[in-house]
Amino acid sequence: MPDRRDYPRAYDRVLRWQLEQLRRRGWAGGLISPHRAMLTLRLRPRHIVAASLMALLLSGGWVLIMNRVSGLWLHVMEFWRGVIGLPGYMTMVHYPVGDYWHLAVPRLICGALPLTTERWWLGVGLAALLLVASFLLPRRHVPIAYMLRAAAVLQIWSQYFFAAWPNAFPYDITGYVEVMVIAGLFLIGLVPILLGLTYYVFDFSLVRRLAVTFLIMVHLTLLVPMLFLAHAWLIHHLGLLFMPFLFLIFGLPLEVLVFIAFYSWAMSWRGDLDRTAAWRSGRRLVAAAPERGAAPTGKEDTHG
Amino acid sequence: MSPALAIAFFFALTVFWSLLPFLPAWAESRRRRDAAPLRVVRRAEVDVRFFALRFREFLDQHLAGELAAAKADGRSREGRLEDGTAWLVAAADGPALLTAEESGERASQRLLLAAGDLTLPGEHSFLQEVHAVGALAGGPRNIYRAVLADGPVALGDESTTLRWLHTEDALAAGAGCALYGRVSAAASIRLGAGCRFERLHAPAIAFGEADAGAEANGDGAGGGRELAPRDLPGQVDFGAGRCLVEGDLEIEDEALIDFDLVVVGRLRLGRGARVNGSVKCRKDAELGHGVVIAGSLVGGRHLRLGAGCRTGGPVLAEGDVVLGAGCRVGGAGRPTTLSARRVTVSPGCTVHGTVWAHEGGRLLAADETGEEGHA
Repeated sequence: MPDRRDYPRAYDRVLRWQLEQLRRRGWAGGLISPHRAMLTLRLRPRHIVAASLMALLLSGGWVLIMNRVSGLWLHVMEFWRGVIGLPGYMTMVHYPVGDYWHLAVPRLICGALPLTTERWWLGVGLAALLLVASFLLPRRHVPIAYMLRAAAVLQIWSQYFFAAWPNAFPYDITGYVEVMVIAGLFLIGLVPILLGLTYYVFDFSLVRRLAVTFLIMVHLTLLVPMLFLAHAWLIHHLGLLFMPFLFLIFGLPLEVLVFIAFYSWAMSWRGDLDRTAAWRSGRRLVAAAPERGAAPTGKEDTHG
Repeated sequence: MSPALAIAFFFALTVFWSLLPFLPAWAESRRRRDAAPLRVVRRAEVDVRFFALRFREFLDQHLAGELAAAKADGRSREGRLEDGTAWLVAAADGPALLTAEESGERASQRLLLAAGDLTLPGEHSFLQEVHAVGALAGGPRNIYRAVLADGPVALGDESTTLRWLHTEDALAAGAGCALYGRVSAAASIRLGAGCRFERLHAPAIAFGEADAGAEANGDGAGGGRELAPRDLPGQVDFGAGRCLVEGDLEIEDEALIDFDLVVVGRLRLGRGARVNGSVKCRKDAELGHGVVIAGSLVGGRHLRLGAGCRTGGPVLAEGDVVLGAGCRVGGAGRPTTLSARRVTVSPGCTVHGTVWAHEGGRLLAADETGEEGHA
């Protein structure tokens, strides 16, 4: 250590560093961690820049491979369409975007069976089932009960619409699946942007940020073709009467819930907040120091 | 595979894949591994003396007999704890307290206990706890890990405490001291110019010399016009003695306000104004010379109090607090709290109760008070 009289600034710098180390030492040489409730995270400009760059790079990467993913979805949907015996066929449509790029979207050519009295009453049965189930749920499941009631109300409106104007519904299976597939493509592309705003800014390591991003993107990439092919099968056999229900309950909201589910899981992962440079260096010192070899005698608690 | 089986398999696969992301949430709802509240040792959080009391319990269990014996027979004692930590119980005060090796290294790794008064030389590090049954006086530029004294404590200039300090009497810290962690005194604390601190607690905490801000003491505050709620621009709601003001608010000099004030924007209270209630401000608040607030002052961002301001209740800010010369927070027999991210204090201020500067606080030296002292 330099002498204070000869090197006052160097002395002060070294002393400050040593004091910082000592302030976080317990009486037995261990590291005193701050209480989790006392930790705070400060958003610095470099965090914002890093999060923005990462989000833009990953979203840009998705745009580059989007048409390849569409090609994959075409084959997946064609395979499962054959397996489940859904009539019709798959084709690929290309939408020009500017002069140099186009968006490829798999299209399912398929029609729905006509609305019959039996199918209409089936819808009534579904709405009634949802309503009854919502009242049978225990009180701790109130949120689910309200969701079921909302779904029942939606199906009741659908029943009314198809009873009053049976031929006025403007959508078909082909258009529905195509729009949902396009929405899925863009939603997956937005995942890094959403995470950039809500996850990358926190103190998670690069590996964890990449892990949650790829988990969500890969999961949705595999889910979207299967999900909307399942929708197509149901609408084909049950009629267009069920399209609003599937769209509003098991369409985009389900994909958003998938994002939220992964996000909340990832937020529970341990961050780096309590592993700042000072703490890390402290731990190295502890690891290198010889143990005193006795049980704590309780002179001081472990947090301050 | 039959068509029905294929369809069932397809739907089962789709449902499974759709539900898979919810598995961690479902598992957590069943196991509830992270549902318990954070463990908080209530005594540790509520009582600023917690570490000192724990250390005293430790002494009572392990070394009370040695202390009593040293006091009775006048002979010092040495030994080691179960964990190997060396200790010294000094019967009498004097320079022979430290060994030649400790004096040479200017550092002691021993637990130092004194059965009476204790005087420590300057420019030494005391890396285990120091306890004096009587008074404790330290030389300049010492570093203490932790200090417990039953008598008054006097720290030399530029001394540092690393973890905690508690005295059952008064504490006087010399100029330029750095008081990290918790510092408490049963009687009073007086800090010298340029001291840094984190968490202080005493019936009276004096920052610098008491007469530094004596010219403005808030006695004549509120001698001007009394303002009714309707006189305040942007007033949106008045009820239960509380007035809510939308946007920024500027109160004229020497105005008297006889109700609680909540300001959504910035607040400026003019020189000599008086509020016979509490003030809450979501953005920055600035108090002119000699402003008196009978209740609490709460700020969503920064608070700047001019010279001679007084508050009867707590002063709390999410951001920084700057106290001008001669400010007083709380009163004798009415301890309260000043809590902020950073606290900058001009000489002559007094706080009764607790000061908690989460990221550190500082008492300005006399030559630094040009701006803060006359805000």
